[in-house]
Amino acid sequence: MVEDEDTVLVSLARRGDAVALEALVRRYLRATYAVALSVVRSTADAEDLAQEALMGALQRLDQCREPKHFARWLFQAVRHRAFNQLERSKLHATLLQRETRGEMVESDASSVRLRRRLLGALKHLSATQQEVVLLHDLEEWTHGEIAAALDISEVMSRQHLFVARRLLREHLAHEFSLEIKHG
Amino acid sequence: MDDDRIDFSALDPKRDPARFKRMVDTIVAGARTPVSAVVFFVHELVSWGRPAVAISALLALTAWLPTLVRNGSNLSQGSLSAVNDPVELVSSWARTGRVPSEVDPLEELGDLDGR
Repeated sequence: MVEDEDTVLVSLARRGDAVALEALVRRYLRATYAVALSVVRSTADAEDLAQEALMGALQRLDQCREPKHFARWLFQAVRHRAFNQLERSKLHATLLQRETRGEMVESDASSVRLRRRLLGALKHLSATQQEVVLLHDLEEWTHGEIAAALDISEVMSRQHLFVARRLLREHLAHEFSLEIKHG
Repeated sequence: MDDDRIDFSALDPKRDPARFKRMVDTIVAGARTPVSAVVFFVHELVSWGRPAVAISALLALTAWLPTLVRNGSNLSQGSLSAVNDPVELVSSWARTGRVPSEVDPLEELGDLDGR
């Protein structure tokens, strides 16, 4: 059970156990990134936020009152950090510019187009829908894990996933048809 | 595997494994505060039932801490290697099953400060 493992890992990590710290990082880095991405919708910014939030959370592990809900506590921290960043830097206005900067180092043009399409489609989903679909389809979490981390029921997790996928497919198809139409 | 899955691989930070590993290493190094490193170090030695070694280790750490403070920023960047990091040192002893003598911590960590 993930929650039991987290309790042990958090306990060891609090004592400075490097192996436990790394296990927590490996387990939650992509998930933290997924949550950040659902707020900022920029891969570069989401990676930075995930790193900062995870590092900050691990440095303040003594403040995690329920180690078995480490994921929930961590996700609240990364959401808070991501929304603060949006507020501070008015990131919305510069998202396109930052994405373009990130694309400069990407060698595969089709991958860049696909990423842009996915990010464009994600903005049509609610924050929870984005988190559920990213955690399930990117991070391959089960509905049980998602429900525990997001503090929702498994039924709601399944429902969010169903709706999110339908909306994403609609918007991806729409954007693809526009690309074909405009060459 | 779920056939309805949306392919998010273009957004996956693991698409560059080397970069992803650097991210993990950076976070682990940054998360290990000097205090937590010292707590782990002493706790491990005491839990082995070797109070004499723990006392020796504390003495060594007293000599080592000024170095740690001077290089605090370096620690957070993960520059400490297994050779000069007390946590790595204890972990390596634990992994190999080697029980250190009373002088080992002093010898190993004392060298850090050029002693």
